[in-house]
Amino acid sequence: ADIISTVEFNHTGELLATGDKGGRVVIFQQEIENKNQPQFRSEYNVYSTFQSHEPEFDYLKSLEIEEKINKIRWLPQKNAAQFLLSTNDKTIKLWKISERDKRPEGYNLKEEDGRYKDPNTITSLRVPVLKPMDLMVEASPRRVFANAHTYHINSVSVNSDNETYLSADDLRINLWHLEITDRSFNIVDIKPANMEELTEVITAAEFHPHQCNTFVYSSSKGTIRLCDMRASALCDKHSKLFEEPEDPSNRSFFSEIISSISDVKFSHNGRYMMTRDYLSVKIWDLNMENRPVETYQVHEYLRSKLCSLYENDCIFDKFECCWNGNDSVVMTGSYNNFFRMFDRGHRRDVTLEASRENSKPMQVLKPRKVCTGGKRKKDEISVDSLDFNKKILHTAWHPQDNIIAVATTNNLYIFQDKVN
Amino acid sequence: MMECAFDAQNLISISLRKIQSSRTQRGGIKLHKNLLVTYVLRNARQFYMSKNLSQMQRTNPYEDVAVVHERQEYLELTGSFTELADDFYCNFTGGESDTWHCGAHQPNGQPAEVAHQGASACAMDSPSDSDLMVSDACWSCADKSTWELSIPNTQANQKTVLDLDTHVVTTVTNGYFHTDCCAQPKQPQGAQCYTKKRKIDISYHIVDPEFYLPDFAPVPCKRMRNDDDSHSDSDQLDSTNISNLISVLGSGGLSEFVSWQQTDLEQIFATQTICLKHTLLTGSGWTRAIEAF
Repeated sequence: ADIISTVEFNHTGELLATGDKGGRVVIFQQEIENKNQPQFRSEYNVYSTFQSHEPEFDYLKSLEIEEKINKIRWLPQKNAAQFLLSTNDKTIKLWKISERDKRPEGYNLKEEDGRYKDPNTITSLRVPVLKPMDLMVEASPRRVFANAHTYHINSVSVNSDNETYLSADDLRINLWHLEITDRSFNIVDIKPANMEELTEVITAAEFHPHQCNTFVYSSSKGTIRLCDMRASALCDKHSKLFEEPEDPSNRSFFSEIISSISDVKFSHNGRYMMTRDYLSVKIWDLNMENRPVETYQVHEYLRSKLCSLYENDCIFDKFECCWNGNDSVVMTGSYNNFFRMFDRGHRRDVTLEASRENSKPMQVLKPRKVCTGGKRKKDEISVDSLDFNKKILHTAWHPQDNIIAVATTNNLYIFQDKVN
Repeated sequence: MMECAFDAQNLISISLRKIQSSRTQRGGIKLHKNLLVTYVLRNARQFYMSKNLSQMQRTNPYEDVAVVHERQEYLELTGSFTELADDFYCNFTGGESDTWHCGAHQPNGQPAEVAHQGASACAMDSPSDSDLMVSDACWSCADKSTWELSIPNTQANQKTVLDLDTHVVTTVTNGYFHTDCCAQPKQPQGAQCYTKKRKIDISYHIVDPEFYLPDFAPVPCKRMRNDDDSHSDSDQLDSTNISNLISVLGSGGLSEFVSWQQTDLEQIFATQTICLKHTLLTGSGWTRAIEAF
């Protein structure tokens, strides 16, 4: 139940939220006291833990609704409290996380332990005063957005207008107002009139970081559609369609599976977007629809293993991807607890491993290499000895600093760039 | 090349097993994953059929290639499930009458026939009432129509199955489905708008005791979705269609695979048929609905 299913930094990077398969959310807070000192090493400590979703049962269909948290998205901070959206397959919840470090003391009608006084014993009046107390972090559900999705929710994205957000399932995308829970607008519906004609599903969706009218959604067919909500109320007709023609020499039984896009993310500057399919990461310029501007192979050595990966279901793994703060580096996960970083400017890439043995404090991560040919060099790992049960599906990059959060199946690793 | 053909067979059986197991997975059927699996099935099947054809051409030079092609085209499985549905209607040889016939896929897109209205009306009797009442209504339909129908089982390798959703009785002969007949029709008022959806269900003629609720709500228009609309929304019941879709592939839709994968697929197929016979006798699908409340 503590299999991590989502990881997300907030907008300042001070807070890091994780969701797990058991419906829990754990929030970590960065230790910032000594931030300006040399040799500062970020520490993230547990800040708040709460049960976001519980398992539910749909009696109409005799189906259990999993409590697994599929996505967490933070709202930009507006006051002292923090807000985040967390979602399982069917229901999105808005949580308020607030601190309490003072409590009122000196009530007239109540004792300190809460018991009510006998009014006859009160002879004088006083004003209660606020006294400091141990910090308490409270999480309370402020909104529950339910019953709007027939299919499984895969994405949630907060609009730059800070008032609305979208939620996407396999066939539909709905637009919500953060204050209104009893209705949502359906803005994309790709369900065919005849379900027999179904050929693709929506796999991810995201609002543009600056243009509140623009969003994209990716499909299982490897296409990305950019939609403009100003064009019409229903965005079934895309404004742009991003698609790269398939290389016919790579055709296999599994071509459709490996071209399915598992994640789509806009760059921070809003000029590019990144997509992740099973074997690669692609960077698209929003002004060019016919092909990506950059393609990075994550683990091309798996192409010859697709049959086994299909058998053990690994081929269905949905890897996420993320940008660093200035959009110069992208990161994504792989198997054997490896994760990959691609430096766009310097055309460099590196494979690193998240594991207890390699992650002592202050230890610099050593680059790893997978041997694809015959002769295995020292420190290389052969493809056949990769552990496909150890997969890194979720990664996150601090919005400003070079701090990354990498989730293995049960553990969260936080790495920081060397401080020079 | 022979290895590839063997791999195709292997892939087909693996895929069917995945579809089968997805129906019991926690959280419900995952539409995305199952869609991808069907693509693998299609690819493997296409490869296998093309291998088969070229082999047959080599070994039987005098066989009418046109016949072989025809047979192959007839069984052609593409990404579109409408065509899959069409295959079964080509196979339909049951008698037609004024009172009912099963909704053959109308090329001009006209709504399906009375029988669907009958079946849907049956389920429509009390859409807002408790499931208990709906179940009673439907069982009475089933009692009257299905059980009393004389189904000719002249061939030893025939199995007769009842679709609890649509009350279509089908006979499996030599691995191919024939849609025999439908439930007793009624002429309900205002059921016109449901027929299109019903046609979809009929074309699957699924034997799926798990999903007992028929699809009786109209196709929703895109609109603001209210909280309280959801339960009357036919989308709620779309998982029925998905499960039907998967059942097609699991049990009979790719029935030609039975001859290729004698052990695996026949076991799956036989299990489903046994399941259904049990349901016919005990009504366990309905019982489960009642127990859930």
